[in-house]
Amino acid sequence: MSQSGKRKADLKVIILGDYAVGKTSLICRYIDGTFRKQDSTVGAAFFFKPWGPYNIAVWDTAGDERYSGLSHFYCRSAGAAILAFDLNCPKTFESLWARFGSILDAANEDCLKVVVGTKSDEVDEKTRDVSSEEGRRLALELNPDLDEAYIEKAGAPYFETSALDNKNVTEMFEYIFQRCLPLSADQHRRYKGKTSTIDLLEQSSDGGGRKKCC
Amino acid sequence: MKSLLTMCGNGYKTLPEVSSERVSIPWCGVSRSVLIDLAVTQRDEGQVKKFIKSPYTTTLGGFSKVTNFLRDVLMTPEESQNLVRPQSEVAELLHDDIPGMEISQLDEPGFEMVTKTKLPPRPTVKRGDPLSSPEWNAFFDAEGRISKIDELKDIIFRGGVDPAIRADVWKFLLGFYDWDSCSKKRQDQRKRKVDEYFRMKLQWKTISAEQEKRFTLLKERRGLIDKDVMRTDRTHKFFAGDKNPNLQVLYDILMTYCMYNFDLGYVQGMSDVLSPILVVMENEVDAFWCFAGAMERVCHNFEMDQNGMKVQLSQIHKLMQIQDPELCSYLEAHDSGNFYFCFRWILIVFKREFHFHEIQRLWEVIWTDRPCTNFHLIISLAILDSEKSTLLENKFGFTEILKVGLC
Repeated sequence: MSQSGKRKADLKVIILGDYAVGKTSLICRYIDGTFRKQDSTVGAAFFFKPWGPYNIAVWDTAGDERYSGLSHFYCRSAGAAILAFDLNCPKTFESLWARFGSILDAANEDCLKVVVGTKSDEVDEKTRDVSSEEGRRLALELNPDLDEAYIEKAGAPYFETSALDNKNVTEMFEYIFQRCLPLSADQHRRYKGKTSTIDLLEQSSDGGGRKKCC
Repeated sequence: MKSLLTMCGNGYKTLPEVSSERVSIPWCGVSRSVLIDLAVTQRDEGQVKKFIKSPYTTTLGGFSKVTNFLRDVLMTPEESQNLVRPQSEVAELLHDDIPGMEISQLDEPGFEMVTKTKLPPRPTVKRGDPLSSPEWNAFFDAEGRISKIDELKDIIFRGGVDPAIRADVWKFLLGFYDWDSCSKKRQDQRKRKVDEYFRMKLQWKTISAEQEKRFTLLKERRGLIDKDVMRTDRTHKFFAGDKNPNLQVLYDILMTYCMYNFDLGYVQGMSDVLSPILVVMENEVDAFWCFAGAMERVCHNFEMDQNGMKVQLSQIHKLMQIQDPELCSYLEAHDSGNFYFCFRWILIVFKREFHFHEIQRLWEVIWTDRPCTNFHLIISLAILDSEKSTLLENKFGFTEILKVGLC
């Protein structure tokens, strides 16, 4: 077993979305910094990422409808969920409502839902079916708890990404971590010695800022 | 419990004189004897209460009464005396001081409860050599019929198959050929299967794009297969490279399987089952039929209700309750008693857990159905056993345990 298996995660992020929308590619672009053909995900896959003082666990799920029950199980205690759809395939956007809303019941109550359009490199602006406005609207509807001031400051939890061109991928993950694990000098001290339990509701004064830390 | 017995039934078959039927009969007898005991004697309500309070003890108590009764009625005194094992054989068991065994007499007055036993050290098991080409040839008689099928399967179980003859041997293991067929029959079988394959292949090949617009289900499946073919074992040299013709073969076989088993269709994970088989067969028709044979064993894993998967995961749970109660309670206490973390292992029979050449060896061993048809469940227990110390020492929680299943 690898060394990372012994570490505990401070934040669990789960990625959901239809078959072959590019969930695994999105994660690999962020974690390995590369883009390559991925094997289909069967069951689920797990990635580990240190971020500042924290350990982030990213859970990848299988898109096949038959494994929805399993995804539901993997959602347990997720602090953030990435709801991925293919910008070039409106059906995958509809699935986010139809399939994945209920799956997220098992996630934390305050789970941050980030709507992420993938394959933006293939989008033809003239013929695109899912508009940015629709994506943004869904993101806001899924996160009724996000206050306006926060959205004003950090933006809506909606991103259009390309794992191939490395567009917006890091920004999206940073958005999640900044929101769920805000970093401040104060918290650095507070979390020292603690391993796995943190209060996700608590927010530091400068939590919304876009600070690079790693 | 019944499923457990049924599962182990085949394993018992290797022991002389103990058949699976005989194993299960006493259990039916137990429940019946207890019921008779309860209904007929009706000494007082105490017996019912006792049964509800501790069904296991009461049941076994009932069982022992029946045993005594049967022994007295059916056996003459001489016979029953012969049944007593010589003292020397059981001396070790009767000895008070078995290391690791804890006996408690507190919980159930009148009964000794063995709460912990330590098994003796595991015997060293040495793998055999793979079935070689000369060995394989020697099994065929003049008509090309395999003699001593069981002996042959035993060799494969112990050592696997030499890769040079895998394509031939797998055709038997996966039901492409009948085990008891002669060369002549196999020629006919093969010819029929070739015809049948191309007939089914034509069925989807001849559907026009226009027609497919009104055939959503097929179109959806084509889309799924298209996407999965592009991402199945692409690092293996057999499937590497962008214009690799083997990708087309993979695609054609999966599409044809859709027509062969339209009720099941295509589900993510099936391309994993096909890929190692195609690499061995290097022939579209052979690979298709062997894939169909392999799917026969695992198709319940892919059904919509996922019931086949749930049953197997709960069987692992039941087995572990007996095999390793300590690890079992740990997993239960950490929300992992449903064994969902073993999902991928079972779904595609460890395909993603081992290297390509290893999985070919493991699968041919499993396909011998030795020592039992559900040997893959025991393999899961063995893997968990090897991860046990990591799990317990690091005090793994729910998320970390889930991760163990994906390492």
